[in-house]
Amino acid sequence: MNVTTVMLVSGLILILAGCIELIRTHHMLKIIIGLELAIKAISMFLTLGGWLNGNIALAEAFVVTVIVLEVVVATVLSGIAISIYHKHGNMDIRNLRNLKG
Amino acid sequence: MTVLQWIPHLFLALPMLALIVNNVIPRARIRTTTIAMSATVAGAQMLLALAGVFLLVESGESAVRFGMIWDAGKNVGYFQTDLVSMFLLMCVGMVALASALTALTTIDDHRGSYTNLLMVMMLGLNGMLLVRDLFSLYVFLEVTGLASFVMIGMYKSTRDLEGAFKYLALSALATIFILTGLSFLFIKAGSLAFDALTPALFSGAGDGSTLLCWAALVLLISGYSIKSGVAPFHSWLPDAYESADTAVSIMLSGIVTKIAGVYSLLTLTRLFDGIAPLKTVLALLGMFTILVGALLALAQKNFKRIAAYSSVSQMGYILLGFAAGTNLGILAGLLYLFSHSAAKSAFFTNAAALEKQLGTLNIDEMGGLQKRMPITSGSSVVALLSTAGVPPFAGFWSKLMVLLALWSAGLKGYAAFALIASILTGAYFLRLQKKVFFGKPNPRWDAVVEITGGIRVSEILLTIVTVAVGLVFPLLLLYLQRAGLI
Amino acid sequence: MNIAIYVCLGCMLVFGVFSAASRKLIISAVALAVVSAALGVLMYVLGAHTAAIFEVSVCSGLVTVIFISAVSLSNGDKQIEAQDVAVPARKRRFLPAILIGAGAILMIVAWLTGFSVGTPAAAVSGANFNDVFWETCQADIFGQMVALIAGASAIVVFFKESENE
Repeated sequence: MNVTTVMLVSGLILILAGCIELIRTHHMLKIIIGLELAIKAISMFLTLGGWLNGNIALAEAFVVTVIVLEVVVATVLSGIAISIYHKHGNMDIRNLRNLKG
Repeated sequence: MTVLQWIPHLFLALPMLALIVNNVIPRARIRTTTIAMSATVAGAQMLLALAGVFLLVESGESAVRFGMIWDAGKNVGYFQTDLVSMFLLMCVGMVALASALTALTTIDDHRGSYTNLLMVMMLGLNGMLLVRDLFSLYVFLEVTGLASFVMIGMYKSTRDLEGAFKYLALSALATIFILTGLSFLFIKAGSLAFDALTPALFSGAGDGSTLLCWAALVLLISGYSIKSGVAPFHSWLPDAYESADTAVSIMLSGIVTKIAGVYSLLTLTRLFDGIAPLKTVLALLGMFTILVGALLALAQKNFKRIAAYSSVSQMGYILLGFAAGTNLGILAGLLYLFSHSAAKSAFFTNAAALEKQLGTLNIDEMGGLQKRMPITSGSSVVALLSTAGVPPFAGFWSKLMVLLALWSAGLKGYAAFALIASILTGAYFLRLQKKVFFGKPNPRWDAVVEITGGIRVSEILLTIVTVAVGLVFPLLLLYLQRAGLI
Repeated sequence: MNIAIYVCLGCMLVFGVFSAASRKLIISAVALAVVSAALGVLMYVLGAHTAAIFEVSVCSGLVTVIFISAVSLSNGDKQIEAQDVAVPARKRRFLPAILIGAGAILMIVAWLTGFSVGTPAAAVSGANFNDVFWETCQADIFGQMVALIAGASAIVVFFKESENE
């Protein structure tokens, strides 16, 4: 049982956890948690790829870019969630359909 | 530097300049002209890219490489544009122009922000077409997704936010799939540049990394399919298009799903050229999409939802063209993309006109509007005939080319299926036309007049493009053959 | 080095599943921060020093702060408890059970088939994060700039008062 295999399997478990949470949740902010969890696993895969191919620097460049993008996405999602909360009073997605006024 | 070498810089520089100008000038002064400025940028991009296509064909080079912030030192170039990218840049310009012209009338809140977001979206789309690296493709894809999500949520024509959130959740899922696929490819290949990814990745040593590459391919196809609204991942599309403002729907349907989804799938097929299962999967997805989209469009009552399901269906034709795998197939797919962009943008512009003048989009309530709104009715008929594949419009030629490409690549069954499915396309559109524009006039609409302003200009422009391209298509084919591309 | 990797992986898994399955938002956020810290240590052990710094300072710090401010600005924590009252306790244990099951199956399959992705190669000489990032990844730099502009425009759009109101 190689250490890389263990890393791959644990990363896949984390991605699965993130995806399930993303799909099943009804709360706006928990979508961000699910997305962030999956991105952590993906950063680990990218570093693993760099380590295996001897090209750590390129993997680091990818990881830094992914981190910046995901921070922007998380901030925008939080902003949207807060703005919806101010207008409608709660963060449940199920209440968003067919809102009038 | 020759003209050809500085044109590509403008595709990234002009929207950036517009962004700076829009944010530096005080809000009060720019409020009336800001959307006109974005329309100018879009129009300029369309004309520059058109010039660029001809210049590139004449010069005989296969691609132009350049750098944006500083020039390439040790490398040959950071961005590159080849013929496919130039052509698609022109499509981006055309659809953005239609969207900005429509927005002149339909958007009167947060106009400065609309320009900001439109320019950011154009930067994202242009960036996707100009990169040389699968990872950079993802970066600009994420930017485009962010801008489109904000535009859907911000400019809502109904109060319904459910569409925006469905799009958000599925878009996040697509991001996860794409990034996981990219990281698996990176584990085997060691680099994600286009030059480094070859079909040889999928054969070779029998250890686990080859299996990872196959898994990566599945994940990448799923992720890009979600982004392009291909069935069975299309469920976010109708809700998102319906709840967004029509100017935003024009951008989404006309170009974002195409570049973010279908162009990425095209890049995959061009990179991994010899992998047979890839083409088969794409062809099957294409067939399934055509069927699902057309069948679901038959049952809808809302103008925009019919247009949305129709977009889903037509995406399948583009996929079939790319799945043929030959040069003719790629050309056919691109031309179908162009004619569908023009026709669907015209269609959504008509939806904007109807919404503005009538206040409703339920086709059961409309009727006999042809006398009252002749320009809208005319442009809608042209768009319908072009999409259904009736000569002499652009859609007929591009559909013919897709069928020819499929036939010559040996996928005869798919070609026959595509031909038969066109009948379904004609069916749902005829139903729409009959209910909205022809038929008995509904007395409720006796006082309605034709739309004026930006929407009218956009309708006329897109109709002219569809008709003109359809008429000069044979000349275009001769030109391409002379240039050695067919 | 392998021991360090296994410890980090274990932390990531435990706190990650905890974060996904937890009902309270603040606990999820803190667990996510611990996952980021563990990932940062893992990256450092594998040799990616700059990425480790980024991960720990940005994800473990900045994103957690943003998230907790979003929660406090909206009192969102109370909402989650209110709506989860209807969900029976049985259903809440589903997620860890599914994940542990999937993990066990994957491990067994990998062990039986002898799955392996190869051994780590020696580092390419002269490759430094600075050189690679600034010399070859200009498109990514441009993309990050555009993403930041997009984020700023988005926040402005959502929080500006409507001009017509």
